[in-house]
Amino acid sequence: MNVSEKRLSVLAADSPEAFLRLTGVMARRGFRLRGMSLAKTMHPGVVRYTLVFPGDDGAAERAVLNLRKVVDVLRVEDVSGEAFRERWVALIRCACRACDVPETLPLRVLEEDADSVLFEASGDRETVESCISAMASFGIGDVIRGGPFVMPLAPGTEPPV
Amino acid sequence: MRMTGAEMVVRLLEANGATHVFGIPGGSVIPLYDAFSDARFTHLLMRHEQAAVHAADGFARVSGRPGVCVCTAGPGFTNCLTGLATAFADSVPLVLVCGQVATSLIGTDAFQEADVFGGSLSVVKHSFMVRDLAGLARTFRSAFGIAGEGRPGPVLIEIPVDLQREVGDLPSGTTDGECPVRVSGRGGATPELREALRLLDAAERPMFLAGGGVMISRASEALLSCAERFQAPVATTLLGKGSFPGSHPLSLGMAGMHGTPQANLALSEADVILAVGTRFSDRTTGNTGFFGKAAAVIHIDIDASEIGKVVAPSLGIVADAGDALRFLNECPGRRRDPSWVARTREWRARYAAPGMMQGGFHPGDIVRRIRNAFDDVVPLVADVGQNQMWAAQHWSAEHPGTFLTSGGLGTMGYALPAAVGASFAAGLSPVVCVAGDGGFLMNVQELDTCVRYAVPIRIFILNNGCLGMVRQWQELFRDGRYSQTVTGSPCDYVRLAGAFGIPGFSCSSLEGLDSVLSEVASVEGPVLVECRIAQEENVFPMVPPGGALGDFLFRAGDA
Ligand SMILES: Cc1ncc(C[n+]2csc(CCOP(=O)(O)OP(=O)(O)O)c2C)c(N)n1
Ligand SMILES: [Mg+2]
Repeated sequence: MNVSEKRLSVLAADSPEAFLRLTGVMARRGFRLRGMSLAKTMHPGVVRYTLVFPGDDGAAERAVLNLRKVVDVLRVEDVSGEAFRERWVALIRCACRACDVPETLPLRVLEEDADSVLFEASGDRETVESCISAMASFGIGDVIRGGPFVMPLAPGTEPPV
Repeated sequence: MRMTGAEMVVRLLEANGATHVFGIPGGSVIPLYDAFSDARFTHLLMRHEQAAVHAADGFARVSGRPGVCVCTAGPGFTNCLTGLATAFADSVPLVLVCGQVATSLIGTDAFQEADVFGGSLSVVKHSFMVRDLAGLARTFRSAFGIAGEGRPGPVLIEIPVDLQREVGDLPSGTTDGECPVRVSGRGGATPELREALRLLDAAERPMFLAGGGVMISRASEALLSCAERFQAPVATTLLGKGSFPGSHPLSLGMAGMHGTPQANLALSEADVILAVGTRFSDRTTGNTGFFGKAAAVIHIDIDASEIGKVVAPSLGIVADAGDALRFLNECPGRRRDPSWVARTREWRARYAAPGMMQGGFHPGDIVRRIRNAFDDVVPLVADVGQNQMWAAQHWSAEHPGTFLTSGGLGTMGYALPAAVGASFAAGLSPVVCVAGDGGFLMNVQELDTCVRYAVPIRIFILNNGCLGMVRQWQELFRDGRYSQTVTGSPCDYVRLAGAFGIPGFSCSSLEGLDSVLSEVASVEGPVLVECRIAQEENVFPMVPPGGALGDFLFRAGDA
């Protein structure tokens, strides 16, 4: 994993205001979000943001401390590193036939029509990125990336709300 | 109890301790203003919403309680932004109740609709959009709680006008129940505090740097006994002025860009610096590459995100200033060699002569004369610019809450309205306002407020006929190209005061000032004094931008 990139998991109130405050704090403190996911949690009224941004340990620490000051934020955790498993997803549309693509690539075919195929790649970031580069030779029409989705490796370390 | 939303707001403001509310009415708060007629608090009509927020800010800084202000939607709100940003930058607790267009019109670009929530986002600690009456009591309780708790700040409550008219139930017992406020910081004997004690005990040349947080946490007494116990001289930041008595033998005065030589030299030579309740503004530290290089820096702040933000301390402690200082106080310590304190006193003696131009009507002398004409509990509110720095250098603040100024944001026009609020906070007692000619004109309309409420404000305008602080930088760093700073305005301040119904005086010598001061003493309501000073007067000492604190210019020509 890219060591100069950090991931934070933020549990926050499920409201449009909370979203604005959270992203506002990141922008004002000079963090450039490279990825973000927003999802419901098991607890009604609480959502999880996963934020990805370039920076070192110090930057992550600063982001954590500043996010903790946001009143709607319930919990912030640095989820970068070995103790966490993360997944990325990409949807790739290519001008080819599904059978043209080597089976060794970990791709799922979602849809196929006369002149294009929609693939899904998922896995760690390297896997997803290598799928995308491998598909380049087949003529990528469009690609959309999502993630990361991060879980701690050890069960029970998932932060309670 | 059944009542309208507006009546609920009044009851909730009362329940949360509001005694004075500063504001200006408008279309979206007419129901609210209607309900003010039987409120137990006093509403004070200001002449600009920015001024209303500054007044609430001045009120809060003197009383230690959240200031309260009210404005209407749209332009009323946008006028408040500077006031909110000023309070946010200086961690001042206040609650702004802001009208909004009717719920059904939100998002339609209705008349006077502005994005209150979005607009306030970066200048408030938190904001609430009220969308029904059900949670109103909880909203107000949270707002006051958040404003005052931990590191204080401004909080906004936006209420659409239809909800002010709507009738609903206000549950009884509106002040009890849970408030979703988290307590940060912890007191007691943490390992970090023990380590701080060890460092201080081992120090040969310890000192304190006290910021505004000391006053917010009402820790001045603890600071005083701590300083005496460790025989540690105390420098303050601009906002920390008043946290330690300026006349105390251990007082070094203000540190930073225009700080005293003894404070800046001590910071350069101390071996342990205990910085408490300060965010290490660049105006305080000078070039951070050199700040506290000879020292172990201990940084105590209630806001964890301040630790290490600017200065990487040897020891960072997230704690309330008072809790931490009281802990340090209670532990036994060793006796200390007095030579370090003696050394700081030598510096003070060596640089005793104020570094100003020779001859004439010196701003430093002016400020000292004014200071001597008033009791030391009378607060000074300083505006922004050279006047602010002269006030900071020469007004010895003896008590917490007696020196007010916009430090973090540096908002010109702050002083006059903030002084109004400061006066109300102390039962309409006398307050001194020092402003430059430029900043004074930025909220000059508040003279009307001073007259209507007979505020015993003593306004001193240090009139140098220019935007002096910018002119000074142009002189020092732009080869004297005075681009848009020298105004030489012919404004007649005595007649200006007269037009508002305020006695006005003008003077251009210390003798003249003395006789004006004796007349001022017998004026009951507001009074304005213009002091005509030289345009060329500069603020010294000065650490040039980017310089180390020890490398100050002491007087003109040192560069
Ligand atoms: C609202 C605002 N606008 C501009 C500035 C930039 N500024 C800082 S000091 C200064 C000059 C202030 O002039 P004056 O009020 O006459 O005070 P002096 O420095 O002359 O004492 C200016 C323009 C500011 N601090 N605040
Ligand atoms: Mg001026």
